[in-house]
Amino acid sequence: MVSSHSRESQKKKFPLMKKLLRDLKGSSMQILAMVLLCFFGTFVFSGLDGTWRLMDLTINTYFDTCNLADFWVNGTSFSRQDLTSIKHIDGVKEILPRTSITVDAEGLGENVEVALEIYEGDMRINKPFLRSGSLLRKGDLHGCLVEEQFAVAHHLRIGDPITLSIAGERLRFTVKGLILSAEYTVTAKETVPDPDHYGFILLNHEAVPNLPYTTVLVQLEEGADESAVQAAIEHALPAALVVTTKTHGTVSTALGYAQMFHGMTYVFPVLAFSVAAMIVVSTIKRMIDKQRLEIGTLKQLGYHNGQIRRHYLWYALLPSVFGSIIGLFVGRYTMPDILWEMMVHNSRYPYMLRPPISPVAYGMTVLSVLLAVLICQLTLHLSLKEVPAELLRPKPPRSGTRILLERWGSLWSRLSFNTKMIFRNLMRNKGRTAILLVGIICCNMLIIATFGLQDSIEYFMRQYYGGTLTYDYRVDLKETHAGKLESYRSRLDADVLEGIMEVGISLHKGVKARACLLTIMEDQQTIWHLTADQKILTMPENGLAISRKLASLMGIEIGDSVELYLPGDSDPIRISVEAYADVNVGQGVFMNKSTWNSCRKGDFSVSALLLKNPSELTLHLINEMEETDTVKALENQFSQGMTILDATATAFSIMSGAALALSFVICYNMGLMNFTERIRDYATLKVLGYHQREIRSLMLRESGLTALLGTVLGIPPGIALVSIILKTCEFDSMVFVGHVSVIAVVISSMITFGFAVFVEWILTHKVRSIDMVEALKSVE
Amino acid sequence: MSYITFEEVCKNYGTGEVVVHAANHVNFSIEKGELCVVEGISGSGKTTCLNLLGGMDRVTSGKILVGEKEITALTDHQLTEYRRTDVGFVFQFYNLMQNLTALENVELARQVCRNALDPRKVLEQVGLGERMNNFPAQLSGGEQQRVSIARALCKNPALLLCDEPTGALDSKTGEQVLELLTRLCHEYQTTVVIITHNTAIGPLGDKVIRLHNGSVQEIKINPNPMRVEDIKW
Repeated sequence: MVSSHSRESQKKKFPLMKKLLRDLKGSSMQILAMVLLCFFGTFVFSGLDGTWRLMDLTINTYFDTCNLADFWVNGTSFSRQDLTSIKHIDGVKEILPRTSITVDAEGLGENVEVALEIYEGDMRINKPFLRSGSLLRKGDLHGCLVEEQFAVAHHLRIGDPITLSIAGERLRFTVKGLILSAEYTVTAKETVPDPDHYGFILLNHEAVPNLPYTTVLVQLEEGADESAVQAAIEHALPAALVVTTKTHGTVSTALGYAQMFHGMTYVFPVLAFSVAAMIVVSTIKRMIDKQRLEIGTLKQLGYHNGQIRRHYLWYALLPSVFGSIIGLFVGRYTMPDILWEMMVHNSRYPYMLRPPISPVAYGMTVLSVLLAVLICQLTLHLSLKEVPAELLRPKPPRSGTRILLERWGSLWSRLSFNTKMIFRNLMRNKGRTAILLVGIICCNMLIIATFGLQDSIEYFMRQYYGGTLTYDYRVDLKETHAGKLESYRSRLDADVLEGIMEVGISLHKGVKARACLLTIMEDQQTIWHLTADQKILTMPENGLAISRKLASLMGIEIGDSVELYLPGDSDPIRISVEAYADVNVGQGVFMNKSTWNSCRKGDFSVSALLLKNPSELTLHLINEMEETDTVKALENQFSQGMTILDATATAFSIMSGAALALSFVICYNMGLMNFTERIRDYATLKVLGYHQREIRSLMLRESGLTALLGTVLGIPPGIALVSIILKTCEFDSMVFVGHVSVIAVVISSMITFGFAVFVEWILTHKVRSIDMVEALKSVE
Repeated sequence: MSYITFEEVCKNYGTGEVVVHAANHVNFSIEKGELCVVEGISGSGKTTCLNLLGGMDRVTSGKILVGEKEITALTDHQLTEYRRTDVGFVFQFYNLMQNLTALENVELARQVCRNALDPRKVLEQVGLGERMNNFPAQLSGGEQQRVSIARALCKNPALLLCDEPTGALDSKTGEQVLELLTRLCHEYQTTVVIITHNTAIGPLGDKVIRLHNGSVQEIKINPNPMRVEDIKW
């Protein structure tokens, strides 16, 4: 009895199921749009979420395996006593002294330099990551570990000999292992790795016992107060420069990337989701509205509201589940890999670790399904409240009303008939026009953001290289051989030749301290343009100029007194800050030569020459000079700077691609809805003898107006978005300036506008397919 | 030669096993300036014939001649031109643009037509001089139908096709609309074709064509058509 009953109820469900499938097939474009929108929302979130988690996991796992130091305490020569005093500071778990020097690698070719890291004892901290061979045993006097890329570039294999000149002595080593280092994920003297000319090699300290320790690697206890320990070390060794993971060049960049994508994960998807949600609302609403008669019929037949609800639930559930789940997986398994590849193309990581899909991403997927279902149920709720008789009557068409513009009689009467009609139509369905507008606005926003970001990066790089720095060539000199400025002036021919002295210092203000660069410039220098409008800053007499960002990071204001600790000198320079310098790239402090001389900390010894428009011969001469370390053209520095932000740019290209896809769906979907709703109008026009061409031009003009409005309205938020993103991504060492060029705005707007109109143009082809007889059939 | 001629016109819907012969070898003719009533019960094929005549649909076979034109041989573009210049259409449910006022709805027709009449005059003619700035929703059914007629007339068509023009109206407003149509036919020599399922309207026509199951059942010529006020609903 029971089974026959259940079979009975199974039969009852059957026609509804059939109806569902046929309905879905009938509105396949709208279903597809919903699938795509749910896909898009979860795709962007899951992709970005996966990206930062992948970066975070990979980088941190790598850093943990290699036991990366918390602090690099740099100095000129640490004594045993210094080491002991660091070791006994509260919160310090372990220390490891080492010597870092750069030497020529003889026998590997011209101009080949290697950075040597000479470890005292076991390489416990900043442990090299072994790729092949073996690590150095304690007491191995002739073994060395070579960075893998460098080894490959110079065809070095395990067991090969290598000769290095260290402190005037030629020493022979044997390659024991090829390694990577967490500390130097980017092995570059400048920004871009050049393994043909630069690499690094690890040695045991016993091999060169006479060298002084220049770095102490410090690892902290679990849960130790980082800034307190840093302050304690600086107190104990005032002359030392404490570099943290936040100020260490390569380490902070790597961590900064993960942080940046983490930030982006919560900016974009919010946009994507809110737009997607809006479209889903209108799509479902329309699907349910179209089903009025059916709902009325079902009610009249005696179906319970619950049964009808369950039936229509599928309309939202099927496409949203399908789209969201695909988005979750596709986002997770494509975007992170691509962005990681982009990020690390200059860096060396031994592996890439894919974290499992995060609970947050699952949560967003469920949320997007719930949202669709909720919207569906709410819409249905309104329909179900009506009595069947009411439902069985078709909804009266929206009546026309006068629009605001008509009050402005003189203008209104001057508009052409078609224009009036277009305006009325736009205002007739304000909700839909609004959604279409928002869609186009968002699209233009994202595209402007993409172009604008590229623009901004180029702009502030250009501001620095060319604006702040006005030399053509920068020649770094080897400390030991540098001569007097006057002698260079007499030998070298250039429009302008100036020397600077750069010293890595530790800047202290109260308990706060930070490693930064002190640049000492000539008194009447013309190369550095340090004011906000990039003029020459009049350097204060007996005072310091500080870059604005560094000042705000350390809470320093004009008039404050600060202490500068030079390497290996426990007696600081006490000096007041007298001016701000506006620098976008690399933060630090500046003073002029006479101020430096008055500090009595030694002579002004040139560490770099800055040249404007040097002659060919001079360039040749410079390359031949023994003391020349590197020669950098400003243009090269600029283009190298640009490559740093490649990954970010790629992320945005993906975003704007997605934005275009999204706006296609929005425009098409909205256009389609508009079309089906007004098919009777179009059919009437057709009957009246309007040519297809004329109807299509009416449609195009109507949507063109929306597209134009949306495009224009999208410009200000697009420009604002650039600044927001730059704020999210900013590193400590750089000031990102939002700068969107007119060309970028014009191109983006043209893309958005053209695209929106193109989609409508595709839609207008449907006019041909309007069957007048069918469309105008009496409502019965 | 007659103004309108249907020669062996067939219109089939559907293919394969289920073919509906909506018009099955229909033959008739209508003279210029005639008021012709096409009668028939629902499904008799009258709307099909009207759609074919109005250039809104294409025949399966047969020929339709209107004046000099063989409209069954026109291209889509020519067919649009034909609808634009030669035909005025009046629907049972008016098919007015809801977001245009009465006047603007009429102007809509003038937009595409070369010899159009002044929309205001036409609206005055159909008795809507006072209401031309109202939206369709603000008008009664009869008034809306008159706007629809005005829209058709504005194009100054040689042929006015009306699909159940009184179908949605009460008898009094229906009478007004019919009165207007007969007046137009007689005063301006416009050929008017009215299709209806209401047999009471038949006596108004100079010619009455009765359709049944897609074929012509009877053609009756009225030498003395009745006046609108004399017919009984």
